[in-house]
Amino acid sequence: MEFENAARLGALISKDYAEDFFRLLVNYQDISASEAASRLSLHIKTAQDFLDNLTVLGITKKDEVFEKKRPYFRYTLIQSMIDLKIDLSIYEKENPGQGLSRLIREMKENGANFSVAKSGDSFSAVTIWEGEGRERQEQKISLTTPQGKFLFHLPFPQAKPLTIIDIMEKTSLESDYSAEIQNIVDELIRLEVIEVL
Amino acid sequence: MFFERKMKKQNVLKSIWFPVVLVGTFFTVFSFYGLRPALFAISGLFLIVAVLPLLTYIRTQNTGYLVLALYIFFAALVTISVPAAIEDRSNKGLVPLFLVILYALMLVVIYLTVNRKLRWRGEEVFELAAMPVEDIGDSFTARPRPAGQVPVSKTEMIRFVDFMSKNLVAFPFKEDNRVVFVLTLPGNDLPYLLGTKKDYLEDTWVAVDYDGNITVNITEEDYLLFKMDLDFDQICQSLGDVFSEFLELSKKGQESKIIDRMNALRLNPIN
Repeated sequence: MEFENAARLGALISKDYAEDFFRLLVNYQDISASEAASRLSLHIKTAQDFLDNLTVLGITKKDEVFEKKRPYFRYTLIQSMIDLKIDLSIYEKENPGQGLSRLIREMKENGANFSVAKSGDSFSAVTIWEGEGRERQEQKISLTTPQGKFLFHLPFPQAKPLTIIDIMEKTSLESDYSAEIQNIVDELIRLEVIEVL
Repeated sequence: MFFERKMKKQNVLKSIWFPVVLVGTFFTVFSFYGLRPALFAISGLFLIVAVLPLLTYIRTQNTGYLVLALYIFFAALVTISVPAAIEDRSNKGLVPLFLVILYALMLVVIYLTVNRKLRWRGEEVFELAAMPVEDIGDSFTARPRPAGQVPVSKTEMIRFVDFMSKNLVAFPFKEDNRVVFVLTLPGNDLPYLLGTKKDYLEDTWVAVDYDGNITVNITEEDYLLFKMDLDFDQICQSLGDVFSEFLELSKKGQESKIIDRMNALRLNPIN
């Protein structure tokens, strides 16, 4: 299931009336929004939105019918089993090794504040201030231990830059962490705390 | 040997403020109330000021400061006792004894001062660190930097901590996994001596953990003590190297060489 649909489904089944709604759908051949609303003591618009969303997700189907000349929709359950599966591996960086040879160092006068972890050999967070004057906002990024250790060894401004892989070696970080490290490096490049040479 | 000074000169008033206050108080009180109250006033000042070297001795175990505290204390005793002796010359009491002790202590204090035994050494450590560093423009960043590794055992560390503290090089903070040395740079020492400062986060420090990893942190305020914009990366590394070298010498029992290196800079013995 695509993430967008999963999010929509998640939102639907989290409603406190969702279980009662499904009970109706399972036991009725078909049902209209006004019938469901009256059975569950809901506003007709709430029931209609719920049923329409189920239709978009392919869980119900809707058919237009006429009462005298007035058209309305009747909804029929077409899936008695809902399978919510999200493939998270699609977010995995395709080639985590790519970009590790970038030469990086801290950018001069970046205004970031690095908080030292209790252990004293890594950082626990980086705080960056964005914007000017009253619009100025603080953004605090909490770091994982490997990220904190990596940034602790980041070359100073005007120091000889090092490649990401060199810094990782210096920090004794295994290549498994390369995606995690590159994630924070990319973010700090965007925030102009790190420069690439 | 000639060394190029890389740190700004300290304001001379910082070194001579006490004699100036002393003389000023004496003449002000003397002109309004006479000799006896003037001597009592400076005696009071001596007693107050004697607390500072006494605190330094308690916190660092530097015996030179105990001698200095005693010297100031006896100066206070002399100034308290003298008015009675002046009024009735036949009743000198213990004044001659106090004077003999005072002069003897003064000679010891002069010896200690000339030999830099009372000098706070942080400035010298900074000068040593700055020696090989180039001036390449402002490159300061407010974060600590790893600066190498030197293998050290717990016993060696204890010995080194004791040496650094006793010789007024740094205030040590013992933590679970490391010792943090706060450099005794000008203006930094008083809050530590008075016990008003419980942490080192806003000061320049060098940390050595029990795995031997050295970490250096230099504050912007202390970086500005240099006359020029030294390469910040190099100065941090160099400060780490100085500590690494000191630690190696301490491990070999050659602490006197550390003192010799700092004395060779021939900075003003009074600070």
